[in-house]
Amino acid sequence: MASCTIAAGADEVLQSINHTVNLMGLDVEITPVGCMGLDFIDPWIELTKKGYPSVIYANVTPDIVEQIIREYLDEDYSSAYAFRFRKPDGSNVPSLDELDVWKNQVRWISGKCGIINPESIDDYVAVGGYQGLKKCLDRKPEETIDELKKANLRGRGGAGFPTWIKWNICKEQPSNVKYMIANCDEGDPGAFMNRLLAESDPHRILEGLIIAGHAIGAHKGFVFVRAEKPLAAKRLLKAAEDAREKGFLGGNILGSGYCFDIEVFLSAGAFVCGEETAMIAAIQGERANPLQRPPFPAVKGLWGMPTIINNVETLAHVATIMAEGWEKFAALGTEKSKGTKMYCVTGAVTRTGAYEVPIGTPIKTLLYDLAGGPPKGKTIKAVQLGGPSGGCVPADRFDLQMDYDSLQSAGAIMGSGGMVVLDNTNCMVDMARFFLSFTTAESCGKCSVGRIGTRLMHETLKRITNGEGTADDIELLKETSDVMQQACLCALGRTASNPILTTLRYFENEYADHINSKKCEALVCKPLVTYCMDSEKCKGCLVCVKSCPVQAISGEKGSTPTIDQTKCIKCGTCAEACPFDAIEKVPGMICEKSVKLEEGCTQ
Amino acid sequence: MQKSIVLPSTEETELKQFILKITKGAARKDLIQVLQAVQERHGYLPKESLRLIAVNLGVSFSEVYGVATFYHQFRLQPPGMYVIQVCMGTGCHAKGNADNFEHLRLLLDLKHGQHLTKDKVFSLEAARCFGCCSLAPVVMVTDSTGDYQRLYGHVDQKALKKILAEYREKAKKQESEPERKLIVYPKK
Repeated sequence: MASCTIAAGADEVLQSINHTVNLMGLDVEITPVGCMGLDFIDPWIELTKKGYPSVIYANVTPDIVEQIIREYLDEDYSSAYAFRFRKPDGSNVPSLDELDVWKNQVRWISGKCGIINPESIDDYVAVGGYQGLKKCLDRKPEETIDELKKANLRGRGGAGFPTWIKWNICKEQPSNVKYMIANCDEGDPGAFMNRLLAESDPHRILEGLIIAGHAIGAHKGFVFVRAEKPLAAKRLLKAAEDAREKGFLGGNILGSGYCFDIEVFLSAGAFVCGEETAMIAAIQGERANPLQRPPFPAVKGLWGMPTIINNVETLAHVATIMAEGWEKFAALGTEKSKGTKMYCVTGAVTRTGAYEVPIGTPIKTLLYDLAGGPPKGKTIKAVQLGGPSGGCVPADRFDLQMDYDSLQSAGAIMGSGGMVVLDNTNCMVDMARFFLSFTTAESCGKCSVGRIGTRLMHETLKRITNGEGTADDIELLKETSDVMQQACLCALGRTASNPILTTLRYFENEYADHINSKKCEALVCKPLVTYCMDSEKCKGCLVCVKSCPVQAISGEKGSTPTIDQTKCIKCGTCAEACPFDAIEKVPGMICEKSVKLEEGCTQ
Repeated sequence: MQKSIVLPSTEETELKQFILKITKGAARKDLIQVLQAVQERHGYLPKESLRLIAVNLGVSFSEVYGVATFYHQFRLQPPGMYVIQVCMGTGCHAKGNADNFEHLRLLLDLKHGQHLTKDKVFSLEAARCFGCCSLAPVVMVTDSTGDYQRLYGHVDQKALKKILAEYREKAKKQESEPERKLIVYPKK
């Protein structure tokens, strides 16, 4: 029961289960759990009975619930998706460990997602929760930081700064008042691992936050959640309440004498809040304008006091490292970056979802082994990493390892871990334009380079996608991005041109197509595509004439109608309405077929 | 404590009392929460509310206005009975939600820059990512009270038509009920 599964219909399934169970007179316990990250099987249910195997059913609908339960009780598992643990002999259904999507993952922080009830603190404690906190409270903060240093955990928010260095700076500050902030804003479109963690295992985040507070000497913490993610906020609030009740939060935590309390702050939504100083301004109730750094927040942050901001994924790692020991964590990953990272793979793949793999896993493994490659009939062209501040990586570089440094060399960034897979129906110029429209809207307007630069680049890209681009435009884009990278106040501006630079680097031919031949091969940029009538397929039924919302199509019954290209708004309603598929979308600004036909007529 | 402001209708008196109540003991730092509370109750931030908040929190009107216009969550125009939010995240864009947005504008007969339909049943908004990218492209329908919210995944032109028809029907039903109020208070 997470946002994604509810959207896919989990509420209705739950109702149906309750109803069916009552009707059948079964004595069962129904536990709502979080999301496993396997979004393509949503909504899923798991059935367990003593002496029976645990079975997972995928894409459940309310009307098949009863059938599933009956089959399960009859030990007929043919319609199951997978067995949670070992499968019975001779079954055709695989166990989870046999599935590509499962066996290639290392579920270090997400291991309990989809197993425990996120709204039950007892569930979390039962799986070893708050053990790490106990250990940390028993020792000096230095030792906690030292453990983190050995684990060499780097911030999972995107920049990859070593967490222990940040904490150490803050700990060294003489101030009595310090703050700890968990960043669950996740403004990055296309990434949802923070939301997933907060909805499926909120106590892990809280535990990490309390450990961090203890290590740096803070007594007050904030969880910064976006108001657009109400369920995540609700579960975090509930988790904090329960933790307070059980003595993990509040005064004199577990009898150690350490006091720490948190507040859940509902952010009103602004991408720039990903910048630490901007987030601090937001908590202070102001416009989220970033400030010049240094001083860094670790020295002078919230209300002028030393403040640490960590991504919730980083904090979940902290909690797990403290419980399981740094050795296990450091055994995963690469030489420079240890541990695992969660990635959200969406777009043109068959198995969309959130997957956790060791850092350094090749892109190929994630896209093909885990996410199952492209749907039938499509080819993957590129993958967009790290959202609006990241860049794209083309298909021929998919053996690249996913770690902070390798990605940087390819012009992309790890970012928060969103991976949007693009296929041949996506236009790279349009993607660049899309990201710039985003950063232009999200630019806070404080520094003029950021404000004007994003706008200038957006206008230029708009020109190109409208078919009005000139050869100088590419030069202009490069020049503007150069200025922005050097002169912008915050990372939003400095990285805003990344999507342009990487698309230019790997897909310059598409820019050339748009500028020189005025064509959009991917059929995305509307001014550069045309709808054409195929007179051979057309039966003259005039359905299209009726369907057109702007009356651009005219003709007589029985003959092929004509599209007035000056009136056409390229909405595609006619193509969808046509029962004979006679209306075709072609690249370019003119309809070559009809031009030829007209020429033929005049001869 | 503050100047009395003459408000003509009962709705505005009610608004004034509500703001007085929530700004009691609040300080400058609580501005965002205060704005959120007003929007949750009224569905948007009437201009008068911004003035009242400014007076009660002891900050300038321009500062309140600055914050209210900075964040996406805040609406300064009244929404329709149902708010349709079209996700403009990367995943949804890659799967054609920009076309869906245009199509909705066409279906709702909205001109550029307009967001509320003539009959005030629907208002159309572009939203940031809902984090349900695996269902892309998605559209969220919320009613103006915020009590009802539903996300539709894998939408296309046909699905949009159906969704609009469904809510038009619902709106009609609600309209015919005599007890219908413009402002429905959240249960909290």
